[in-house]
Amino acid sequence: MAVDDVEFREFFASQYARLCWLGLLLTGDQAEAEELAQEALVRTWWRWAVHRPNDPAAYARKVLVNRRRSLLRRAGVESRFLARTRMEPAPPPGDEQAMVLWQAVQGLPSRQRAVLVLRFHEDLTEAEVARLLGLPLGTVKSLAHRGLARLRERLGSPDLDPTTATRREAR
Amino acid sequence: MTPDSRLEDRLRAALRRPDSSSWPDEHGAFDQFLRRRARRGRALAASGALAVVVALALAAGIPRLLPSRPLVPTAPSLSGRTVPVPGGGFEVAVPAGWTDLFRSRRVITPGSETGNGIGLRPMRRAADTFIFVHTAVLTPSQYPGAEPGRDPAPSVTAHRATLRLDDHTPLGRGRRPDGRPYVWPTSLASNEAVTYAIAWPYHCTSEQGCPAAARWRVLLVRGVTAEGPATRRRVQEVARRLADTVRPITNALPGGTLGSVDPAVPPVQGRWLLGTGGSGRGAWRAYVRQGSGSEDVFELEFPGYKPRPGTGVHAEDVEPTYLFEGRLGVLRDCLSWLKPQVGLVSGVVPENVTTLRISIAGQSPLLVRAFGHDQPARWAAFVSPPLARGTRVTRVEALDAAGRPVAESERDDNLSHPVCHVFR
Repeated sequence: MAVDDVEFREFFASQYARLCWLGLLLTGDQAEAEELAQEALVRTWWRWAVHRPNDPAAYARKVLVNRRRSLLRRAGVESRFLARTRMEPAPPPGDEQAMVLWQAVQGLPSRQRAVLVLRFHEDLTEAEVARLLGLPLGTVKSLAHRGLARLRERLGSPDLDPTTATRREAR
Repeated sequence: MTPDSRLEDRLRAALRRPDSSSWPDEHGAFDQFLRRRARRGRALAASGALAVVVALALAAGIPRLLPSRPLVPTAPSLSGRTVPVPGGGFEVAVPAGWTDLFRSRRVITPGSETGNGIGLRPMRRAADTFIFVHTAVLTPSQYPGAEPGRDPAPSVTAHRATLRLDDHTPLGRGRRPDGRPYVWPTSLASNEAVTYAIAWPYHCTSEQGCPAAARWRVLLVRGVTAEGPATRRRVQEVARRLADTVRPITNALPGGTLGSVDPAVPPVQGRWLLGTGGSGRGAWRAYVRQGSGSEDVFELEFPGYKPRPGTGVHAEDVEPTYLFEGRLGVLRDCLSWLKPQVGLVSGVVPENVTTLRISIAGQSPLLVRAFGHDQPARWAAFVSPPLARGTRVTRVEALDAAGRPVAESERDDNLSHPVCHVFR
């Protein structure tokens, strides 16, 4: 009674890049994004072997987000990841405005960034984001509000002009 | 457009993954995944190896759990609470230190078998540690008590609900204290602690309404864990105790009540009349018939339909997995041949649904009784009374006998359009 590998392989093929991208949005680091995606998929496989989740894609996303949260809680792990060579994430091609915004998002504190990414990339409702991040709804609303306010503020900031911008630490 | 919504739109665009982009080294990613998965398995195995030394020393004193001998009756350690699962025909005493995680009309496991089931987990949390007790239809050649390797009813194996145990190594065979035979696979997946498949034939009320697969139903007791050998042993012990003590009820007893129909048992071949209603040229007959795979088809037939009497049929697929997840498929029909025109709202619901509450804009809700519970099909059905043209149905809720909501129509059921709305 093994997991249907064909079915899981199809699932893997459909989700890997998507999860990597989500990981990249959350961390700003390609290697860490791949690490998170791999871990999420391995855990999803184990879960699948026990009891197939109703929505495996949502389950994998949840694992990835939770994994990211638990990594952030561990200072040692955090510093190890920070010590890595960071790879510049590829912004959406050919769009200067998007690149500015992308960099502004990467400069947000991790919780504000997570809320905005889940709201506007994954198109989750605030209640769904709250459940996923294990935060009260009010906190999610306020993080989203503060994140958007900060983006608005930064978009007018000269250091986010793509011609003069320097890479910031994402965390 | 407000500045906020402009920023949100720009943010969506900035975060969007380019459609055509693949991830760097996506091709090697699956190999990397397999290696990582294998490492995880080896880590579990390594912690298991450490325990082997101790296990060897104690081997004489420890009864073998993965059985090469019949199950030995053991005094169950109960929490004093039993959980009946009438559709599956069994009743489980929750072991001390464990709790029931869910009860479901649908259990999906790696073999994709479906059935009535219950999941148990230890109260003290352990990673991915569960015991599932659920029904399935086992391929006849593996059925407990059947002659090994002989397939007395090969046609049953074609059904998607049929389970086949891993028999790379010979299946173990034995009997419960009450005489029910069981089998167990001796080769297990890495996270699988133990699986028992106990003969649990489904007793139908009549031969006529008995699907061929009913006699090949088993009750599976499956223990799984991602933890080390100590937890694995505990899971094996508890699973064995459960396999020993789980009690047959309802449809697992000869002559017992059917309770509800077990979704593990595929529907009877044929077409079943669930009920009739309406009058004159507005009369209808509601049927369920077997479709392909595990799906059935709901048909609402209008014998008074003109100009070709008897040919007016609205048929819709019924997807069991959809309906077992608290959702409700709602069909709408306009009886356009009547003057004045009227509309019907209908559908199938799980068997525990007794009443439908149909909310209508500007009116009190209608309560409609579900019917067809006495048929061997897995479903009950409902059909609304005739609704005047232009009536706007806003919501349909399915309620059980206690009035609790079981399922609800979804927003995309086109309910927002008035009855007999003409789509142009």
